[in-house]
Amino acid sequence: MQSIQAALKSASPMKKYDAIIIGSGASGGMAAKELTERGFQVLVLEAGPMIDPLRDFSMNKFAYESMYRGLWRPGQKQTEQWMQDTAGEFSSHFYVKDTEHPYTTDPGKPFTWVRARIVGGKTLHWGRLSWRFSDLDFKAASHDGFDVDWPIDYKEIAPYYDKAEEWIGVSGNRDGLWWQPDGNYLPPMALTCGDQILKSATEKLGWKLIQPRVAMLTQVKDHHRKYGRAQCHYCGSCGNGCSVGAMFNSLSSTLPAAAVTGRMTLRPDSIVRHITVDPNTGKARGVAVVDRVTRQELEFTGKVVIVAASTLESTRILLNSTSDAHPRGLGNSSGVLGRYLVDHFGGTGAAGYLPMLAGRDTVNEDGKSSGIFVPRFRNLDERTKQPKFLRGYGFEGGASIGSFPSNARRTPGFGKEFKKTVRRWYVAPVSLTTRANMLSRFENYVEIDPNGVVDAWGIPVLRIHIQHSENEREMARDAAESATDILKKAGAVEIRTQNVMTAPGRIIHELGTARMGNDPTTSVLNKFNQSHDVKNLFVTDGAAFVGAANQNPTLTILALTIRACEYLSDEMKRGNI
Amino acid sequence: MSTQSKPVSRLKLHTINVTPSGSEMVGQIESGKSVWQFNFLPTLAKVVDWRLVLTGRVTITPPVGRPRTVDGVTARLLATQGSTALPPDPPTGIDQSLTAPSEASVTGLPLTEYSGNDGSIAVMFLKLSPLNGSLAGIPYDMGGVQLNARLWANSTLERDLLWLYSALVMATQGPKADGKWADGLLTEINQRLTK
Repeated sequence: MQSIQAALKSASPMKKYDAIIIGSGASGGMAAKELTERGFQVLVLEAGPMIDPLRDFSMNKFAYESMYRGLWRPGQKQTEQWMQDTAGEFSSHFYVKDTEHPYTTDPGKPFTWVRARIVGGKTLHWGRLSWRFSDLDFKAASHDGFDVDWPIDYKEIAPYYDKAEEWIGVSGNRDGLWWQPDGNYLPPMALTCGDQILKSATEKLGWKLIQPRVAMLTQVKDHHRKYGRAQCHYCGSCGNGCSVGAMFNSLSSTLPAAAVTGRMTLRPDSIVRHITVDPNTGKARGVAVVDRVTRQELEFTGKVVIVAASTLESTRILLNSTSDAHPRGLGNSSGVLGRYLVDHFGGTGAAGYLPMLAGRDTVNEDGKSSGIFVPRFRNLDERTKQPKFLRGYGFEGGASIGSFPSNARRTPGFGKEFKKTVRRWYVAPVSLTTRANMLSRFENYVEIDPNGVVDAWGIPVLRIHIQHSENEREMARDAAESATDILKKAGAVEIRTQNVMTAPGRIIHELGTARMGNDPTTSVLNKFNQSHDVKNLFVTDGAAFVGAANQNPTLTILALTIRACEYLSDEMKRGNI
Repeated sequence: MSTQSKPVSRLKLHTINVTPSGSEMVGQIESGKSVWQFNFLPTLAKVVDWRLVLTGRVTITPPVGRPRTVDGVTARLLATQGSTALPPDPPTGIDQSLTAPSEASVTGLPLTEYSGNDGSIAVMFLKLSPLNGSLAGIPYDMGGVQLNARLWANSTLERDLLWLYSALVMATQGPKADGKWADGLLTEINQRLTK
């Protein structure tokens, strides 16, 4: 992978940057690329450390190479990273330690806040699913009357989806579904044998099953090759760091592109306390930072501040940025900052084994980690309208297998017979899990903890208030039943219907809290991710979302970021910022 | 010439992370390569203004030299973080009136994992009364330290206290706060703190 070491030059508090970008993940990395390529001198502030793929990625490690089989020393996770649900022994350094980064919740209403304070952010271990939203999502309120529409429609954002897909490289298939718009794809990853069985069963029930659209290279184009990215070889350990750059992450793609312009300064270990404001103009002046390691307090100044620290961290920074001009937080004249928090929910679904696959030989494609996707099939039109819930859900899952036999833990017995049974069924697991739309509601929100709880650097933390409504529960019931129906139709055995919804946050699709809109009294940002109140302030990550849809959000975050940067650049040229 | 030294501005120690060891809370304070052992042994639990307040002994063990102890230190509960792991069972023999009903769905619809009375707390954030860290050679201002007590339980006593602290938070700050319920739980907690 192309090195970004050259960008690790000393950031200067004396210099006024054209733009300061907070965060180096999906949105921050893309903003750095877009703005440096437009001639901006940018400073990227990342709260966590720099990463060296050669040292820190564990793509080729097997569980057997660890004394604890990838499960950590007993007690380590519980004392340090307990809420970092997806962190494992080989990837724990991609995640924060909860002990240093606390947050609080209401009694009986847990929230799992998974964070990656590291150069590259959560793109180092994201799920890579790259779906477009459609007008069924952007104009959901017009469709069913709940909440408000986004201030943009599909037609406006489609060109930016094109750009994002082209740059990151998305493999997939053009399926011709109006509510799941097609993009420009690299060749799709073939469905496994088990996936094909599921597809046939799903279609018998009148629903669709398609190849996932994943940001993994099945074909390498020149702009991928330029930064050392290679084709996916189906090792299946994406979450431990992809050493060949086959999966998109900002470390192997957007940040190197920004670095080669010579106009990016990247400063890791920079924890943002707040955004500073010019008292005369009320505009953002810069960013106050505490160095994670030395604890030195610094301020960097810029003409524009782009907040891309991840949904809740961005909102935390804005809420902590109070001043005489912005007493309720920066850009919060509406009082909406922090409101309308959503996360997709999962947990409900079904799992089992396909007996016709038991005992077969493995093939290389078994290791593809993309699975299948059953696009939303509820509330698309009058025919599919549901009497008990609004919006809809899709299913992720499939019949892929990893290097470690996940069925071993469920298999009783020991010794030779145990191993024989594990080997026989290792190649036959099948599962479907829900990715469902949670309604955006005012009463689900975050605020600065009113009791004064702080993090290890003394920065006030968030208190998170969120719970599911009856709409989500009705949807979850329907999803569990539908998933079970698909597995039954596929001939699966030992089917386990999963009937409990994941706690908010666990799907790591937290969205909203600084929503965009046309009305400054009911939204924080305009339709270009620009603060209504502070014209040189942009929020480009998932905080800007009006609703969650049921599709994974990262592609939309990338497209919105490109669009916001184009707008910002044009507005600066016009002298409007 | 005055012998009184000019007050030196010290870096503040904002948080100490602790985990249970029996009824005690144990952690470390680090500065450079030096590590101090930190122990807080609560011996009394009260509820003041609907918040748990623990009182007990702090012991700080420097890298070199003898431990320093301070009695009568208070730790006032600020807030909690909810858990997404299976909560422990109620303590054996506890009065049924102190257990809240499970979240069985009346509508038959799926529930959210580990929520309501079926949840527990993962972390208690407690504010310690001011400590003088310089007595043990700690180079930080310890005038307002927050104790992040991660209640990872490994023994019966730790599991019982996790259950009781979780129930107490529901009884004092949950949607159905109940002083009588809280008093009963405090009695159970204090029995275990003084054992």
